[in-house]
Amino acid sequence: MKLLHQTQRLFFRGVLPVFIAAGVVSFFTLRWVFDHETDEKLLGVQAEIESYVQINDTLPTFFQTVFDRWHAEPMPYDFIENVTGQTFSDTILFNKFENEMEPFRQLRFPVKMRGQVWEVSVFTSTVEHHDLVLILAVLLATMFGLLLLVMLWVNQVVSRQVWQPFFETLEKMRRFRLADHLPLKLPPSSVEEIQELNTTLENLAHQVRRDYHTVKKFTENASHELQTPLAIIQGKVELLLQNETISETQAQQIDIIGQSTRRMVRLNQSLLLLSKIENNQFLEQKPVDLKPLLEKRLIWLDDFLTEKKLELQVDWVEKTLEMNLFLAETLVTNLLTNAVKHNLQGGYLRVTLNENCLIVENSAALPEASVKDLTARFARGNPHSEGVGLGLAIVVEICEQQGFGLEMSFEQGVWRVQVRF
Amino acid sequence: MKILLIEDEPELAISISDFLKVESYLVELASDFPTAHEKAVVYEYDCLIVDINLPGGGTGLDVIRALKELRPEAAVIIISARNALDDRIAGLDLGADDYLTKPFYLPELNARLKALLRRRYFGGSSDIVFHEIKVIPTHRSVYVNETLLDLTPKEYDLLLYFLANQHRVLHRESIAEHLLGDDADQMDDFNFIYSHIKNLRKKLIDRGCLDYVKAVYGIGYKFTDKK
Repeated sequence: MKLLHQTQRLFFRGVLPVFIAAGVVSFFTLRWVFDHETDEKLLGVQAEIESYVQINDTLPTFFQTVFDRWHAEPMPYDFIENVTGQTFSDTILFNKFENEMEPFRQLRFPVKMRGQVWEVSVFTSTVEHHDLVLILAVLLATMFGLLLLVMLWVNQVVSRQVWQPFFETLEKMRRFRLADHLPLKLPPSSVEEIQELNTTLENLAHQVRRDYHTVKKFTENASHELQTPLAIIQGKVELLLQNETISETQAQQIDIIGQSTRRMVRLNQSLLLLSKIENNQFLEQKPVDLKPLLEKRLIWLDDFLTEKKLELQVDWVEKTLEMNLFLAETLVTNLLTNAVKHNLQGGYLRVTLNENCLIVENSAALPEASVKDLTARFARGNPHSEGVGLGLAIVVEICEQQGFGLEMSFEQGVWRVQVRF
Repeated sequence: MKILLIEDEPELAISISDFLKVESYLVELASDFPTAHEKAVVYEYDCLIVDINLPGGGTGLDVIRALKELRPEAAVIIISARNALDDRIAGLDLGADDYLTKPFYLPELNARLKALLRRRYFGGSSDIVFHEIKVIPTHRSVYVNETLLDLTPKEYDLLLYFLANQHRVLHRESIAEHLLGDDADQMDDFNFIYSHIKNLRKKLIDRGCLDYVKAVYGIGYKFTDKK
């Protein structure tokens, strides 16, 4: 759920009950106020009648209107004791002018007149009040509804504005790449929390970047420093092998040292290459003709194709790409050498180059690792292979660097790599 | 032949000079920039083998620059741990004749050195003669008992590599790298060299040549007339 919806939902949940409660309370308050007013009025009439009766010893003849009327009737004697105060009640009477039944408020009270106790009933119509309360209720509900809508809208607008820096920060974080050369820079915000978030994120990004660069630098330095000792070992191994006095077993052991050393050299060079690509050290771009590169590498591989009795199928057009020459060579070399190295005896190799992509397909035994795992560093389809497992990782890195799409699949004995330009 | 080896790593320098001394070269060592600079400028060498990274305030490239100002014809082979393209281009621009990336095979350096010296001091016209075999490098042609031998380019390179490194053990990878170049390390299976060696041997023997190629303990080959 979006932040905006979340706040609106919470807002709605908070405000709606309050509005309903407020509506109910005001409805009943209004009614009570009107009823109270009515009762006061009736009491006023009572006082007037009583004072009139006291003076004239008879009931007044006025005070009979459409809405207000009164009548009096004698009360049975034994009843007098009980009828001391006044009694309010609601009743319905016929309004002859309106020709319909209407609600009335009634006040009954006893009056002593002409030596007898009379019960006087005074009525006043409450139809207007009821109408008024209804109108007020509708008005109130409409007002509340409008208020709610306006508040929601304001809330949305305000939220959007208030959260704007947050979304900006989010967008910047999304675009942030560790390998980028520029540090993460978030826009300053006047909102304290956002500013705090930005500062924290910037610090975090800075730390992660620093660690990342340290690790990368370390890889590069380690590879550099390893070259000399490796060269020394290799030199000594060769000198030892020239020694006439060593036995066959010794020679073979020395040879194994030599092979392991060379493997380390290869590994080292691949790591160096990877970190150089990651460090954007191959920036110089120029038009590169891919077809001659492929041809050259396939000629180079001729011995291996013959050795494995591979069938070579090519389908290519002239294609020029704006890219770094060294990276192009490395890409082509790695794709083709992989396709040969991991091929089957008597298998085939198919190279397709068209306007949009370069596809290298080869027959292969099922790789034990899944396609995704194979691109990971140090992943080897065959654990016994002499390769160092960085070939595909380098391909992935180059494609990423050059913005190429890379798809790899293994289906029905065909290993397929497609590079989309 | 007098060689100046400029290499700051003593053990590597010793390995190289030990290997080259067998060829009866006179190898002098310089392990830092001032020594290298002084020797290169003051004395005359038939060839300089120069490491780019040097301690002491300058690089191998500076040595080559100074040397080439005095003696533009001096033969120079660069050896460098940095396989950076820039170094290679800078070095070759300064007039270096060859470039080897560390770690390299000593027989490879030996072969390159021989080829360079031959080109430089014998005008490239000096034939390589080994008993009944005669190679004329300028024409890339091979004669056995004075009859022309038809070799593929790889067989020719292989023979030359053997001839440059007579009586030495050459292991498979070193041969593969000589035939394929630096990129040989992209591949891990070098069985193909057996067929090249087999073919070369067969062609030589068919022309009445003795079999000088000896397999060594399954690790490589040796080209020798000694038994």
